[in-house]
Amino acid sequence: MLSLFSPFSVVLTTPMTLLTDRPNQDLATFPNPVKQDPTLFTLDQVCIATAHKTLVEVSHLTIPKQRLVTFIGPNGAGKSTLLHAMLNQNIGVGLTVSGTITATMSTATSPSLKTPSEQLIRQGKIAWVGQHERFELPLTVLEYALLGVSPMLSWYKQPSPTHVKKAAALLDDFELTPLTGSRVQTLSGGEKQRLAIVRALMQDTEILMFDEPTNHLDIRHQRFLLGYLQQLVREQQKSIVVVLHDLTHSYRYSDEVILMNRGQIVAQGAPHEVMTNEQLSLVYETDIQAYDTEGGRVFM
Amino acid sequence: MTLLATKPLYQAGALAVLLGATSLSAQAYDRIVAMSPDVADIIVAVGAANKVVGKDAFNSNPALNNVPEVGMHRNITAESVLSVKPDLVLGSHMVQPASIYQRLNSLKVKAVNVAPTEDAATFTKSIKTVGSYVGQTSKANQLASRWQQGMAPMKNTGKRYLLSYDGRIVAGKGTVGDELIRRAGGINAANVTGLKPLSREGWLAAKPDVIIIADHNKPVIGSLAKFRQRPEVAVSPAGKKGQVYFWPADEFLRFGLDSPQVLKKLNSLVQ
Amino acid sequence: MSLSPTLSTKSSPVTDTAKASRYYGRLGKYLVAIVASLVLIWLALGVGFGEWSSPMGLDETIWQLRYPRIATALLVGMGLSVSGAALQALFENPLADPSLIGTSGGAALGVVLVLAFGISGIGVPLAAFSGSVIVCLFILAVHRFLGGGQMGLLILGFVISAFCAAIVSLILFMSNDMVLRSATNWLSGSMAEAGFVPLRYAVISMLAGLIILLPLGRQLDGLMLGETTAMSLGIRVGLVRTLVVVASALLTGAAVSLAGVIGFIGMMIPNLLAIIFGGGRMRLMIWSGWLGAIFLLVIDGMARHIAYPVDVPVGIVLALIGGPFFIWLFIRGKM
Repeated sequence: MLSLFSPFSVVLTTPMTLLTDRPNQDLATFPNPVKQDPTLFTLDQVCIATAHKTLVEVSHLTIPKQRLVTFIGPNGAGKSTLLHAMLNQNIGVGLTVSGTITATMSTATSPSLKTPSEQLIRQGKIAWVGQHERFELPLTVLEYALLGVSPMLSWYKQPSPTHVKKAAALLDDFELTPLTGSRVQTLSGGEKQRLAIVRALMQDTEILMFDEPTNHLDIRHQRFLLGYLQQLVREQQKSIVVVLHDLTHSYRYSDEVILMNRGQIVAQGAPHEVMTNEQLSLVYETDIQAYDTEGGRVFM
Repeated sequence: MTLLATKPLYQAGALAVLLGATSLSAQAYDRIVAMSPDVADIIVAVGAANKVVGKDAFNSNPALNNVPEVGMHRNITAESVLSVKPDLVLGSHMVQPASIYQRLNSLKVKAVNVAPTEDAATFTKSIKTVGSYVGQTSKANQLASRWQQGMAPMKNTGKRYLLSYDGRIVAGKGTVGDELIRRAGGINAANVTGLKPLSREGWLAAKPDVIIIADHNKPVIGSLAKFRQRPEVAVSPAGKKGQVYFWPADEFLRFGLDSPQVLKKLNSLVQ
Repeated sequence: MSLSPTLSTKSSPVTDTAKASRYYGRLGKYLVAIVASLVLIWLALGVGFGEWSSPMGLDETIWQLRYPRIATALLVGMGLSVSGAALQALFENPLADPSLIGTSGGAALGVVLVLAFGISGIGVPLAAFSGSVIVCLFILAVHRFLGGGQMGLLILGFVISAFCAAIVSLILFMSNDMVLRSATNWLSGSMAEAGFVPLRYAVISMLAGLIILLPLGRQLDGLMLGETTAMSLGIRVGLVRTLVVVASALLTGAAVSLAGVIGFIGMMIPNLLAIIFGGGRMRLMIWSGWLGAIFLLVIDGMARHIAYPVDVPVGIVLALIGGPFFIWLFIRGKM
């Protein structure tokens, strides 16, 4: 379906490498058992390549619903590339994407309707925050946050007081209230990143995808955000996919971890299964040890 | 002793004859390029058309029909002028760029701007200058004095004229058009200096009795009838009496040999 | 230390007075704008002959000369400013001007071609307009053929604009016909031709442009967030881009057909409003339209008054203001 969309060539992939079959669902931690098809995205024979080299090769990958799924791996592993491909976006000219990426949505009539994943974003079902969000707009922080509700408004309508209240509350949660009336161009990197997240949250979607949302945040805000996302999954059954750099945080907050290296899926599963010292040291090409402290497992 | 006295005399005499002869032959230019149409017309009028080996692309003088074109006077290059191997290049202020004269001279080809300024006295002088270069001094002098007489200011008519390039730009004070109007006994209705665009309210306030427009701009303006429908033209004396005309731009925007006739034409319009 | 996130619903000072002040603030702004406009139009109608006189006792002829000029100034100023506001969002570039997407280049080409074939009168402004729209559509088609992308549209606009200008220069240079030389006159941007072209064609075109463009305001805001994010907000990026360019061509083409190529105003006005007031793109476009109309009216009125009876092309005056404004904007961006 991806190949129908644009003049991309079909490229056959080579046999896959290490891959666990299904993610480990620790039902004990979830009060609400999953009733419908637990798969959100299914990737089959996906290959993303430039004219000179292959960036990502995935023979089969399923991403579950209603979980906090994180992608980890060294720089250049292909995490962002894969995420963009799931949204059917070329992050550069000259990229060819082959294979199928489907999303499973439940509707009233069919409990597991498979559609091409790129349709989801166009239907406004995915809220996305990329690595480099744009802030060259003459808007205040509040107005920027309210952009998140624009899909719900007719062109002549302004955001309702309910929307404004919700935005104000979120801004408060992310400690942006003092900046409510400031122009977004004057914000620091971390403030902008938090604002982008507020905007995405305002969209009130079932699915959220974030590409390295913690890059510019200090540790306090990092923890807050990830805890917040975790709560969204638990309390509101949202499906969240995040690309993370920090191993400690990934271990602590994820329901499922997908480890990538050199464009391939190395491992997928619960954090304690995937994030072993051997596996991580191999992939990151440096000695990584996990230490259990009273604050949780720390990776160094 | 008489022999001694006469030798230097003979020598001086011989030298004088020799000098006279060389200067006479130095003035005999046979290959002349006329870079602008006004100068070309003068050359033809003094009977030296056969000496013209190159002319300006805009030249329509029938006597020069077979002469090759060497460029447009508004944008002429030395290379194209030199391609016809002239020994003399003549032109006026009409020739652009003005540096062409210096350039040609530096390339050892004599180039002269015979009319560097746009006024009647300069034009008279230019006729004589051209005549001297083609060895037709007496004819040129006659032509010049006839022209000068023809340009003598006529009796005041008190009528107002607007000479316009395109229905917008008008000939204000200090232009050729201005001088033609005054010598034709009229008043220049354009209250500006130089060739400037006159606002439509300016046109209204000008209250001209006669309006002349360059005819090659007719396609842009539309027909005469259309122009006269313009509110500011319709209420003007010129509009009401139908005294709006398309004339060739050469007639009223620069001096030429037929300027005396233009004067009479301008004057007769208001009789 | 852990922060427990709560999805709180506590009210903030923002929401309490927001609704009331928004309503009255908006009403007040519109009233002020309307009153200011009427006053300035009144004043502009009185300017003429190097002095001011009340528009009430105007001679029929003078009225015939003045009101088209006023109307043209308002329309051209409005059209170029709204177009500029939209394009600055589309290209995410504060220096974007309506002339960038090929409208002036196309208009010039249309005019020169038409004059070369000896057509005159209404054909000239019609050709300007058609040239604008055709070149814009051409740019869009090539852009789509080459695969899309926001940067590509800007560069393509530059290139094709420059190409049009080169062809125009070539035709003018090679022309022996003095008529074509007068084309440069017409295209140098002046309101002198006001009143020669029936305003209704321009009005229709501009209305169409506005009807397409204003509802796209919010989507333009979304577009400025980046392609992927815009898509996640349900914005159909390709469609919005196409519509914005077409609407912009309708507005700018009409403006060029009335007054020739006038630059700077489409760049200055929206930037000024964005910097001082900011806000969503729909509101920015509306206020840019208003301010642009008033601005051009005032500038032209002043030029008419000071230079009487000479008719100074308003494009020159705008360039004199626009240059320093450009620099100010640049410096401000650096700081």
